[in-house]
Amino acid sequence: MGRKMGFVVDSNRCIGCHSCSMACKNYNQLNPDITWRTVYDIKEDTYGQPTRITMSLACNHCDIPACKEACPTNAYEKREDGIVIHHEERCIGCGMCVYACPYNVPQFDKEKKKVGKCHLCYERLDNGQSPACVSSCPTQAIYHIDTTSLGDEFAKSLPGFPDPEITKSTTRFIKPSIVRKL
Amino acid sequence: MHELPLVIFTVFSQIAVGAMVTLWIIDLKGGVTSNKIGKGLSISIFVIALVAILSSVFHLGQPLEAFRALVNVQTSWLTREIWLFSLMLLTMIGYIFTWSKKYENKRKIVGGVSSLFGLIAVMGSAMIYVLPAMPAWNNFSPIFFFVMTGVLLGPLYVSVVLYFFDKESMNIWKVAPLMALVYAMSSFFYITVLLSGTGTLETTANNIMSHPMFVYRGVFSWIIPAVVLLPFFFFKVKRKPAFMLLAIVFTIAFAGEIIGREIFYNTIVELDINQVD
Repeated sequence: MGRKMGFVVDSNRCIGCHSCSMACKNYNQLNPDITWRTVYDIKEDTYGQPTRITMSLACNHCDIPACKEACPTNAYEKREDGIVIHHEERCIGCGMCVYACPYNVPQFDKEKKKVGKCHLCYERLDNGQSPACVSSCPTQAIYHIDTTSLGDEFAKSLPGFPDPEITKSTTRFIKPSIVRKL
Repeated sequence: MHELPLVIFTVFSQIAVGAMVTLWIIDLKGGVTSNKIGKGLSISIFVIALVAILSSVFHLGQPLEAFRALVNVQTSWLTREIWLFSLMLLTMIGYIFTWSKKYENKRKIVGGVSSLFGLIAVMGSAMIYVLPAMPAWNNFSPIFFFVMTGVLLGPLYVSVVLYFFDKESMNIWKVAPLMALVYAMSSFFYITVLLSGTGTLETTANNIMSHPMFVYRGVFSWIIPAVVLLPFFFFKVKRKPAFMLLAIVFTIAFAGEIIGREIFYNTIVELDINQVD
């Protein structure tokens, strides 16, 4: 079976500090209104008692990437290791991927007039380094891994996350401990 | 308006296809008595389709690189749409040149092929929006509503042009009020079904109904064509609407469709994190 590189998000550890988001922005030199990684709050009463839980999300590097299917210029490529990358030089800014992605991942850059998205810092991975978001997280709440090796203890979804089956998202979650207690 | 080029592209292309299919059908039935008018009409339809396609380029961030969009026929409906509309335009060029007694049989074949490409292109256009990420569009509605625009405005356009030259013998205008009624009823059911849903579906329906132009859309596209033209079905002494009346109804219905398409693009609620059905 081929590899499926993806992110694991540990909601127990995430403290919502946005370091990952800022590191991504900084490393990729994104324009101010663009974010390739975003930290979301899970609704406070989701687990029955008021709790602050956050989830840090970027591209889910899906098995069936809706962005890739919708793109008329073949600007998207799914690498053998499962990473979905976007070739900016082929992008014509039609926005079809923006429409198609259920997770609202591809972002249209109004200055460049092209779309961009997280590419799991594949060039860093190829050099044996971690993605910028992973290496900046102070609590080690995000890491990248071959998700085919993960067992059932990792969830495919958290409350508020669109149905991962639509595109077979590879992001995996460690549920907050409050859920495990329940 | 954020999607103005797409609004113009979709509405104009659907009028062109509706008109092309109408012209082909009435020609099959011998309803076009003058080749000169038939040729002029098909040229005007070609121009409308061309305006549509040129307009579509301006919704791209990089209009000069539009040619790149031709490559992903395997999975991208946008690529397929471009190819289908191009094939329609190409066959239409042939259609225009066959408007003479000599090529009558060929014209009927080429017209049929062009109409078929056009119809599939409109459906392909709609398929772009049938996406799991857009629950309110992820059904048959985009295809139905895109075709309805063509069915409402296409025959009306052909009728207005033939009326102008006093050659409207087949009462094509009668299609418009009937289609306006079908359109109104199906839109009512569509919004009702969305409202019975939750999350993005319900929010989309509320967005549509609270859109400041929604009332105008309903009055222009559905009520005026039906209310103004239906009475002509029931007059005891056979009467036809005057040219000016028909031209005004076409213009108003056209405005209604432009508004309707703007509402289509700007009221949709997509799936997003914490915005889940």
